[in-house]
Amino acid sequence: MANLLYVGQQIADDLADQIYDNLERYKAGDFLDLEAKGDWRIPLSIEADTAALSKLKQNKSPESETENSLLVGSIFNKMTPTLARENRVWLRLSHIECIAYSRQRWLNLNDKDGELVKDVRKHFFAPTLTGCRDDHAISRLWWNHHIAKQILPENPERALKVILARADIRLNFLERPGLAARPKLGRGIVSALERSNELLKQEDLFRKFMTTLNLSGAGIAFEVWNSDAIDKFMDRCLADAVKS
Amino acid sequence: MRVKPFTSFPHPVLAGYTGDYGDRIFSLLMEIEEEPDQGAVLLQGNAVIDDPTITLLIESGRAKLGLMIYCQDTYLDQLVECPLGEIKLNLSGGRVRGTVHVRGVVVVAQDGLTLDSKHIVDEFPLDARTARAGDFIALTEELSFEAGLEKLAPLESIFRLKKSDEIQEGQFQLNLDSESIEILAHPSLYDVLHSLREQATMKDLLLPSLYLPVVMSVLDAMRSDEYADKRWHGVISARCNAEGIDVKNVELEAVAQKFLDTPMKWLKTVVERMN
Repeated sequence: MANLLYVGQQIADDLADQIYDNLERYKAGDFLDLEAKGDWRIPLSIEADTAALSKLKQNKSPESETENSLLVGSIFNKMTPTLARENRVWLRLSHIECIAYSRQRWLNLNDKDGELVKDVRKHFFAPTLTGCRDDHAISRLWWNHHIAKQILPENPERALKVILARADIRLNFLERPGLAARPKLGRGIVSALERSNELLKQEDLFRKFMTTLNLSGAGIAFEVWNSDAIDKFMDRCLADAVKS
Repeated sequence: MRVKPFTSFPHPVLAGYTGDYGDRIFSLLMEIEEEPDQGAVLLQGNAVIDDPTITLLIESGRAKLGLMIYCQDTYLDQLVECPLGEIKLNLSGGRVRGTVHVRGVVVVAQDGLTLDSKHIVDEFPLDARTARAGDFIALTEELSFEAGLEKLAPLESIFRLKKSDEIQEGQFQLNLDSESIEILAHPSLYDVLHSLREQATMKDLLLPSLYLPVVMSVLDAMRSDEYADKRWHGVISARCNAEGIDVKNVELEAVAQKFLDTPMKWLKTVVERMN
């Protein structure tokens, strides 16, 4: 366990401005020489076992995404949502501790340099809300876990398994925060996905289900409903989605 | 969830925009205390409901008074139940960052509730005066504030003056594709600007002569989302949000002068210093 580190603002700015110049490092090298002499080691007050990040699995299966999200959520369990939006924390991890994972998972080394520069910018930097939540190699895993824990605090793994079962399910959870960020509703959606194999497997049906839920649930404070009432509401939305 | 402004409901709703309860009001008076460097945010205040039937519904548990808190940046979307009277809500512990929306609401807690206030306007027939569990029956206006350190970042932290041989003599250009706003100046102009910046009596002259047009151009560029992933964009956006400024609907010169704290005043000051 050691204090979590982040990089200075000038380092972050320079890295973002010099992706092309550093492309060989991203393809096959590292940034350890720069890290040794620059402003790369500003300690935060929270501790984390970053050595455990070596257990990250590099394949793209939903199972690996789930395991990786649980691992990152566990390593950075002291991190707050505010801190988890800080580009300079994630930037250090993707350039130092997790450079091999980030490269293997998100870069196609057969791509032309122009494409690689775009992918490096997308997956090694986390400057915006969507960049941090959806794209950065490591921060997206933390946010997966955070969202799952918000929905099912006692069993985030259960929520992760359905949220990450397909890319479009995760996308719907994130792009409709008015539904899925509300713990009771998020729990209802997870439960509906667990109860209906069709909903879990069929992208088109899930899209219609979420659209129906969005329309039918507008203006209702589900927070005062019990879980049975929410499950029945989800079932009605699913039935309407099947008919549409 | 956020209830969109002017959302209509089939039942009466006590809200400023509906007029369903005549001149009755439901308002939320809140003060926000923030220590951004500590991640501490405390909301304190009270809700005023001047329809006694709604107050009675809350007191009897048939309806709940709450605050809807929405912060997209931290994926926070909660309805927090509050007591009548003084409200205190602690959002510390790194729970909010960026724009936070807060709205006071009264939500029905059981089905088949009859709304029988004498203040409900006559246009509502009796059969429309019922509400189900989860229905909103009172809404305050939405309050917003900007949480976090970004809004406090000094503007000078996002500008970088650079020499460029590619710029015509006596001129400068902006490069907004970088993380900082790069002011690229012809070498001879760069020397002049750099020299001014180093002189305590003269450096303020740069505010009206250089930074005012630069900030206006930057604000203009922010009217599209092209640069949203740049650090400078985040800093200026946070400041705009904190001051309730929508860059798409403002006079650029007015906002730029506000951000630079009336820069033209330095012309007089510098002249007086020289004399």
